Order: sequence, then structure tokens, then C-alpha cells
Amino acid sequence: MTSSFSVGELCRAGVLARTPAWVWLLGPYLLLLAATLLLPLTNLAVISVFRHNPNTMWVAEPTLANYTRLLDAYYVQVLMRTLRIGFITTISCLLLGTPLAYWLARCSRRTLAIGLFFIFMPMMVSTVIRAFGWMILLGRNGIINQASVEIGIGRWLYVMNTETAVIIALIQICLPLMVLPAMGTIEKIPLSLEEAATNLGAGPFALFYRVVLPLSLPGLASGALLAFVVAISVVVTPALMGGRTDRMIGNEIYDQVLTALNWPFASAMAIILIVLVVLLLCVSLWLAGRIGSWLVGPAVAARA
Amino acid sequence: MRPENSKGISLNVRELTKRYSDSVTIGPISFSVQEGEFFSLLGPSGCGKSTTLRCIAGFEQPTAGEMYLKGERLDKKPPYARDLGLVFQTHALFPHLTVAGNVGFGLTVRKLGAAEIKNRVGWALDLVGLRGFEDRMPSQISGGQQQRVALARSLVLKPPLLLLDEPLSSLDLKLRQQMRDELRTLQRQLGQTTIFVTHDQTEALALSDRIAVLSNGRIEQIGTPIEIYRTPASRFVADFIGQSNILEASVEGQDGPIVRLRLAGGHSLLARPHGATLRVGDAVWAIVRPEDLAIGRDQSTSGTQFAGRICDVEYLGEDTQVRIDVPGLTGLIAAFKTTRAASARIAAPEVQVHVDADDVFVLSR
Repeated sequence: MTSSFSVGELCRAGVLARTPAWVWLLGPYLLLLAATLLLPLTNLAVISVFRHNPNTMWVAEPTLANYTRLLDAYYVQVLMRTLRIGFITTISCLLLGTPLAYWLARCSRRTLAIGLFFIFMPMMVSTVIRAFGWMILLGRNGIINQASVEIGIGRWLYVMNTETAVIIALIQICLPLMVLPAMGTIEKIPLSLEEAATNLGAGPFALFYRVVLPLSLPGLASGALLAFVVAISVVVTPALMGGRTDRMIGNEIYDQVLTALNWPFASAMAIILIVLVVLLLCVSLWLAGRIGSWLVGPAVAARA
Repeated sequence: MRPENSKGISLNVRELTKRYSDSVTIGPISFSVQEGEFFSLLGPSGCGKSTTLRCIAGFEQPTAGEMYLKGERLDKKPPYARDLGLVFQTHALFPHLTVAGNVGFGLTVRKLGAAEIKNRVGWALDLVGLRGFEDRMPSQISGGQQQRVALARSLVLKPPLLLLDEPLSSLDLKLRQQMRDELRTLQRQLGQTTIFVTHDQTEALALSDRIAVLSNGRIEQIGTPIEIYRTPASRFVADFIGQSNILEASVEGQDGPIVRLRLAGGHSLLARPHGATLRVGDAVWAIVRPEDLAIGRDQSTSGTQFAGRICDVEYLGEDTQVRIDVPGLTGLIAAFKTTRAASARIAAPEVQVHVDADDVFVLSR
């Protein structure tokens, strides 16, 4: 502490100190974002309207050919399959994850530690290893089929290299992403609210959809969104778990980048994927709001 | 509201026991609540009053015992089928619903028609003076208003029994007193049978028809506020309710209805025990309320006179409390209305203290 001038005077003297706080708080991250996201994204958008050339990769001639090519029946099919797998995975994660999240949010500290360990454990193993694990379990000569043969039922599980196998593996990958945000919001719902609802005559079902569900909707929505975004952008899982016909848009992009060396077309697909994700983000947020007010609806109708 | 059985028993609790571990056990607790009665469970924290209430509401499963509501077995029903009103200390309003949505919650769950819900919500909001607040969210109203919404939310269902779990303790003092009066008026007006859990003896004394004083998981005494205050059943009750001078004594002799007690330090104290049969040599507690210790000489009545020295004076506004050291008896507490005449009597430190034999309550030790 100097006696000749106060801290306030020091601050007033410096130009840097006059800068609003958010510049210091957000600045570094915004710079990083600009360098690693905005710049490459712009690059991607620019390349996506360039014409492909087998020798030079692209020529700087503006064209929409890369986008119109996506209207081919084959690519439409890939896109639809990607969305379908994404939706089924997300809904499965919602159905499996919501009760799990509720249970984790309401269990004792000790059980929570064990539960979280089991939720996180699959995330510590690489996707490739996990896929191989599924192969050993679900394969034609996998553990389940061999055990069935041993006990005389015979081979019955033919799920490997199908869309179902892709979805099974994706559910495992996406479930923690669904459960953690959901658990976070459910935890914040005071137990006294559940008791109040019960006391007012709400059975378990009414308690869930009139109190727990509307109050945990933000968490469920963000969890579902995370699960969906991850599910539609995977590459390794459909390549290893799916068959030749179960390719997703990630696989197409991968092939165009590394095998066909057609970066303009790969860029167009990537842009479409990003646009899709952003659109779905808006739709799901809107939908969460609608579901929220619909759930609240009957009671609001009681307004005088 | 229910004149046909206004004298009947609403709730009957028999030998209710809740065992948490070998060392922590609540009960056995037995009591019954009359129709239309305002019944309080009063005790310090950890005495088991909240556990008892939660057992009645169904949020705790008693280890043993039975509960009957109007003769019907209550403890076998799930909590959502008990139809009891419960108001929480934290209000526990649903943050995603409007005031009307909160008050109408129980009606909506019971699948009543929109028109009836609207009517009854209006009736309940009228009761608590919140007509016009229907569309507000709980976050947009004050703590006192939230408390009223919580009350209306229970009352709208016309519950046979209303349970209040320290509903006033989250409010500030002025508001608490105001809500206390409103609660009492409302309860009288509706004839609403109510069980009120509190650790605040002033609230319990002011509101209740009868009070059960709990300590360490047991009921110490059940009685009207006057009974509890004037004739405490145990040293704990005497100590917990209001202030008391609790003196260790033994019975020295009997003179008609008057008993002479010997206190520590060799003092004698005359008492007129009510009901209790005492024999010479019995060990007793002599209990004297601070307001019954009169400062100044008083020759008119049968009583005891002590000479002491004022060692502490505490002004509490309309009341004054003084601590008087009598040799052998440390810290007798006397209280009186702060009038000029009374204040003049404690001008000198040496005072005479007088207590009437009728004002000494004797309790076996």
C-alpha cells in the first residue's frame, strides 16, 4: 500500500484498466475460437463452392455442383440414415438415461460415486476398443452365440454389421452425455417439491410428469442434444459395427477426404452437417419450450 | 365446517415409534387430536416433532405404532392417498407454475373440471387475501405471500387435517406475528383441524388449543397453554416453556395446605402444592416464574421473603428482567413491567424479594 496515491487513482491512470472486464474474461477464448473454429469454418465454406479437380484438388471457380451432388439418391439415403440413427440413439438415451439420471441425482453420496464411475468408465476406453468389445460379445462367433450353442439353443444373434449394432454401440457412447446434464438439473430440484406434490395427491406418475419432468427439461434437452450431435457425427463406430450398407455421413466425408481426395465435396457435406446440427438445435430448444408449457398447461388453465 | 362430528377425534396416534439406530429412537409417542383443534408439537430441535409430522404425512415409515384418521387406519396408505394438507417451512412452491397453478395443483391431479378448479382456486386465494395474484410466478411474490400460497394450496383441498411444519420460521419477526394472527383467524373460521410443529414456545402458546411438549423423542406433557405454563409436568417443561427459577429443595414440614421447603443454602420457602401429595424428606424441585418474584417487602400474604442483591438488570422494552443474588441461591430471575414505580424499587442494589406460596410450583424430583 503506497501512501502517495490510492489504488483508485492508479486504475484511472492506466489505459488498460479502463478496458471493460469482458475483454479480459472472454478475449483469450474468443481469439482461440477465431483461430481454430471461425477461420477453418470459413475455409471450409469457401472450398465447398470450389470445383473439384483430380490434379490440383480444387480450382477456384464458384460452383454449387458439390451441393447438388448431395441430392443424389445415394447421398440422400446416407443423410436420412444418419438422421435416423441419430434420432433412435437419442430417444433410446432419453428413455434409458432419464430414470438413471433421476436415480443418480437422488441416491446417497457413496452410491453416486460408484454410479458415476460406471457411467464414466466406458468413456475411458477408446471407441475402437469399445467396438471390438461389442464384436466379441455380439459377433457371429461371439460370446453370446457360442454360449447359446453350448447350451443347445444354437446360434441366433445376427446383429453385427447391421444398423442395430451401430445404434447399440452409439447408445453406449452417448448415454453418459445424456445422463450427466440431466442428473445436474434433477439434483437441483428440492426434495420438498416432490414431497409437496405427493402430499397434494400426485402419485408417482403425476409427480414425474407434472413436477420432475418440467423442472428437468432444460437438462434433458441439453443432454439429448449432446447425444444427438455426437451420434450423427461418428466415423469409427459405423465403420466397425455397421455393414457395407450402414454408412453414415461421417464415413462419406472421411472417404472423400482421404480416399477420393475430393475436398470440395467433403466440405459441402461437412457444411450440410453443421447446418443440420444448428437447425436441430433451434428446433429442439423450441420443442423443449413447447413440451414444457404443454406439461405445465393443465395447471395454468386453472388461472382465474 | 363439520358440525355433525365436531366433538369427535380426528387423528389418533398410538405408540408411534421410529428407530434410526440403537441410540436414536423417537417414541413411543401417543396422542389424539380433536376435530377442529389447533394442536402443537413443541420441542427443541432433534426432539422428534418433525419426524412425528413426517410419519403422519407418510414421508417417514414408522418402525412401530399405528395412526388413525377419523377411525380409519392411516399408516398403511401411501403418502399421496392420505389427503392431508402439509405446509413446509420452505413453502416448497412449484417454481414452474403460477400462483393459480400452485393452488390448483391438487385439484388438477384429482382431474377436476377447469371451471371447478377455477372456482375453488378463487375461493382459496380469497381466504389468504391473494385474489389478483393468480398469474404471478412464485419468484415474483414476497416470502409472506409465498407462505400464503402454500397455505391456500393445502386449504383448497379442504383436508381433514392440516399439518404445519414450522411454517413461520422463514419469515421475519413482524411478518411472523402478523401471519400467526392470520393463521389463527383462518383456522378458527374454517374449523380446520391443525397440527403445528414448532420450536418457538411463544408461537405454540399463542396459537394452540393444546400443546404436546416433546423432548428426546418422548412426550413430556400434553395440555392447554395455561396448564403447560402453570403446571409443568417435568423439570424439562418448566425449563423449556418460558423462564423459570428451578430450585433444588426438600420437604421440611407441612402446615395445613402449606408446605415448608428447605432450599440449598439453608433458606426456607413456603409453597402450596396443588394435588401432589408430599411427605417430609421428599426431594423436590421448587419452580418459580420470574413474574411471580416480587421485588419489595410484602407483608400481606403468606409467602417467603429473601434479602438479595441485584447483580444484573436487563431492559427488554415493556418488561425488565433482573438477576438477584441471594446468598446460597445464585441468580434468581425476577421480571416485571417497566413502570416508573417498579423501576424505582430497584434503585438500590439491596432488595427484598417476595414470593407467594401459591406461586411456588412443586415437582417431585
